[in-house]
Amino acid sequence: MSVSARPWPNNAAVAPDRTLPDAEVPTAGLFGIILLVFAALALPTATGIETAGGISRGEMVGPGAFPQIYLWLIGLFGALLLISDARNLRALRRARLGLPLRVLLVGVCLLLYLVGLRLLGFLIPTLALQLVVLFFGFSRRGFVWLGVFPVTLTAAVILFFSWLMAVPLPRGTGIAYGLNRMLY
Amino acid sequence: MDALVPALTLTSLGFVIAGVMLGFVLGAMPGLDITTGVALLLPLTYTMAPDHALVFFAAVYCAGVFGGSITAILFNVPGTSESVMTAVEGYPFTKRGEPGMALGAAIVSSGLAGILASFVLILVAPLLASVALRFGPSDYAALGVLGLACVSAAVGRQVLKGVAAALIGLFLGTVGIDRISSTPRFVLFDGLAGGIDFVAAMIGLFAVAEVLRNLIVGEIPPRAGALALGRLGYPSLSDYIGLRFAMVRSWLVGILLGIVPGVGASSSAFIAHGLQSRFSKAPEKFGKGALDGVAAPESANNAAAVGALIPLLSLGIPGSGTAAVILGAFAIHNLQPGPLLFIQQPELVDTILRAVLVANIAFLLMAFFVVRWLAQLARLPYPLLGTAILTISVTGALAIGGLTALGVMLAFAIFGVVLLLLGVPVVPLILGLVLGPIIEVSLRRALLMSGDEVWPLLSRPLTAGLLAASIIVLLAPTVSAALRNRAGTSKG
Repeated sequence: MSVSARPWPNNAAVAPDRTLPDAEVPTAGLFGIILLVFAALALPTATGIETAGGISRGEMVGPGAFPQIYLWLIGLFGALLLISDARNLRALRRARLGLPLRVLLVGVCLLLYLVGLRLLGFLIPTLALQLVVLFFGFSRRGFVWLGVFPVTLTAAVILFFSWLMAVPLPRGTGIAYGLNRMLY
Repeated sequence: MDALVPALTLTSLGFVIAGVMLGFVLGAMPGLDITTGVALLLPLTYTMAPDHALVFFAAVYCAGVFGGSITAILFNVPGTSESVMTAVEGYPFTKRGEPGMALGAAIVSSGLAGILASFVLILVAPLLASVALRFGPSDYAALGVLGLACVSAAVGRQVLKGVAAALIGLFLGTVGIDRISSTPRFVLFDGLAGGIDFVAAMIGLFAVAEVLRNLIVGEIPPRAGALALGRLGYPSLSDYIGLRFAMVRSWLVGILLGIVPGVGASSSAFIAHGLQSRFSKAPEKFGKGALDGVAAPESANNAAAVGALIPLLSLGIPGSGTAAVILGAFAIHNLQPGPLLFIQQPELVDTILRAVLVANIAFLLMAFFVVRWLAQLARLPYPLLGTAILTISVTGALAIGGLTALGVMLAFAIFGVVLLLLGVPVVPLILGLVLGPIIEVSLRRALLMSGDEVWPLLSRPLTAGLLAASIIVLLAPTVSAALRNRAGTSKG
């Protein structure tokens, strides 16, 4: 499951379609598996919600009815997608783990950012996120890219959202709270 | 109303222009949708005269609905929920290096729809408002079904994947405290009690997912070329004329749904887009950058935005979230909109109605200048643009609902990346998320009112009509294809 890591040609008139190629990766089958797992995880909770008599004993459609219907249908469509793509599933054996790992890595980074916001407030984690994106994601180097730009962007965002529009941005805890409070 | 020609004072005109500019900025900024923006601006108007304050809000409101479309077309960042379909159809134009086509179609269809809707507001507001109040729960449910029927337009050839995505959206729409029985459903943490925030989900699925996908796949999109000042490549006059039916049809959808309290401009944009794909001469272009696919939601959402003011002004009932916040602006100045306002303060009502009209004219004229400058941002190197989109989206999500909304946005962004890589259309998911709660809550409410009897609901003319329209929308492509095949066979 590998996708070439190359920039688009500068003179490209039309951006290429960047979904995974069906011939190499069973996208429908993979989506089917995701749907089946999703339905299997959510159905036990859904079955615990009453499907009738939610507000009064005589009520025909209770709070659990719609979620259960949707989940059974999601499971059904998951199975259909899996069956429709079954013959391509062998391709998964040849698949490399590079791309899913990168998705996972980005997910972990975003989770760390969320935790960072709670502990350190908006300023430092946002600057760090920008540096990670520019340095590792877009391979940018130099003082302007990694110094001037992130600081200017973060300052502009704080100025507009916090100072002008009075949006309460996270200030973190402890010392970070005190420091952030001086800025926004 | 003495005349339809606006006659505002110079000061009011100044407030209109300031409001239009601010509306563009608020609308374009993800997370700061117009409802939030108007709410944040409320304190500023404490010291203003009532007419100036209301004129200012009318201008912010009208321009703000369009503001989201600028960033939707240029950067795939729908600044407002109303501009999701504009992003779907408009961004492909930017990728092809011709954003002016989509921007021009969006400006003209939005502006004209707003101006026409303003005339309706001025002429027949009270009459239409009373009709809209006859909308019952089963009619809302049927309207949701009609919107969902339009999913088939967004699905394209990926039927299984598209329907499955819509089902995920419908399911996610059930998350939160049940609005009828107050039963918690899939509330993993307290912040989800109110359900999944649609705007946060939308920013994640569109704006952030696009940036993350480029990061993950390691591809850097090229700079949008040929964007010299003044040479954006707007549509020609014949292109605009070609859009007339799309605009009129969608305007009608927008104004009718806008008047009905609770439906909102977003739903009307989805429905108008879906219907247009059925009437379009080139339905195969939908989802890949269709000019009438841009004009339809733009016409509908602006008409709906003005339409939402009709029940507000004539009955005192806000037709949308933003209209509810504007109701707050009335309250600040000790004013109560409704029939009495027309009798007690006719001059004030007159000024507001004219301001809505002038705001739409001003936004139509100013938009061409504003987008010309904003489009230059598309020429910036992508690493700079991508990082800025990520940072602004994150901050926008914090503005919507703090860390909970940010968590929702980031989760949807990762999910969006997976869907994009697997070639699953995301629009059906968004449609399901928006329309699911409308269908479920309205249907259950209707059944409660009818004592669990289905027939009284189906025998309501509006419900039956909307359900019939849903069936037509679903079957129309199959029937027309069959007819074409038959005609082809008989010729052969």
